[in-house]
Amino acid sequence: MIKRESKEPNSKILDHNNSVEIVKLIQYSKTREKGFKLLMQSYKEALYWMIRRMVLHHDDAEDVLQCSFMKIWQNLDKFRGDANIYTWVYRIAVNEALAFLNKKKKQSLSLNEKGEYLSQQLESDSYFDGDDAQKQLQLALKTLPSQQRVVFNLRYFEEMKYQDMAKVLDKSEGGLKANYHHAVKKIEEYFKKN
Amino acid sequence: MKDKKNINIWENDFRRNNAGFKTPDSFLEDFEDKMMHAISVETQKTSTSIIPIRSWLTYAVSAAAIIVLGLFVWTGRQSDQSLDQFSELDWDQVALFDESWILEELNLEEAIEETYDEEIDYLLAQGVTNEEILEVYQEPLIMEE
Repeated sequence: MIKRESKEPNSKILDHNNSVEIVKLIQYSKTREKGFKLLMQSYKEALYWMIRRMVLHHDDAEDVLQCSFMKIWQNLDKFRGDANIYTWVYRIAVNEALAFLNKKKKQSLSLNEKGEYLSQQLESDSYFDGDDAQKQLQLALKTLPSQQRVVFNLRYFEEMKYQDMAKVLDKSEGGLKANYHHAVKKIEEYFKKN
Repeated sequence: MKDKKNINIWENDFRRNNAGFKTPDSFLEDFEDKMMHAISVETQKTSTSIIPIRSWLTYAVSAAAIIVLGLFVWTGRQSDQSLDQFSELDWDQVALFDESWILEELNLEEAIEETYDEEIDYLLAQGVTNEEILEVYQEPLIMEE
């Protein structure tokens, strides 16, 4: 049973209060830049941490974050005000992170070397000082298919509602619940074996 | 000694201290300014400029001359070309090709794994449909934006 705190997800760093104002500002070209700056201010930290948990390294996360906001800027005029801006920006950021991971996957080592390489990477990374359990979790997450890893991160770390996750990932809520359940089981098995 | 199988790993709060991830101090402080600068650089790269007609004619004539010259050189070379002239650089590029990534793409690691009857029963009891369970194994990695 996973313990869950009863509070709004990421209440400290995710500012939903500006959502309405952001949507109003970006609808018009004259105020679009102002709206974009407000959007960055509201979501940069939350998006950074979501991306960071997917790509692991700070430098990579920073690059992906910049690419994400670049893409958001380029598509601002296409944003339909009927969609929730929170799920829209998350969708773009998740896409960018997955594209980055796909690209890295093709450049990465053979399968046998991956686990040990990642373990050494985490050990030597000056921007990771998690305890053994946290390191084990990251290694376990690395064994999951991308979809399950994304779902797990969004549900466990972001505490995102399935309703919002369905819009971000364009999947059914039931499918996402199944994905999360699978991810949890596989992580538990990984810990048992290791 | 506790049986490892019965330990509930979720008693750990993996979320504390940002899951073990650290960042440089204040790295997001001037993020907005950096982004606006990056956007203006990107905008300048893609913007078009009006070329005065005289310069346009000059460029057109130069381009035509280069194409004609190139054709003369290329047709002259065709008769001499042979496999012996295949450069070392080309062989180096072939040698760099790593077939392991093809094998990795074909790897069935991320394919459907065996499911457990108990898991499926649990999910069905939660109201998850069969189609939604099957959907779990279909993973388009990039979604439309």
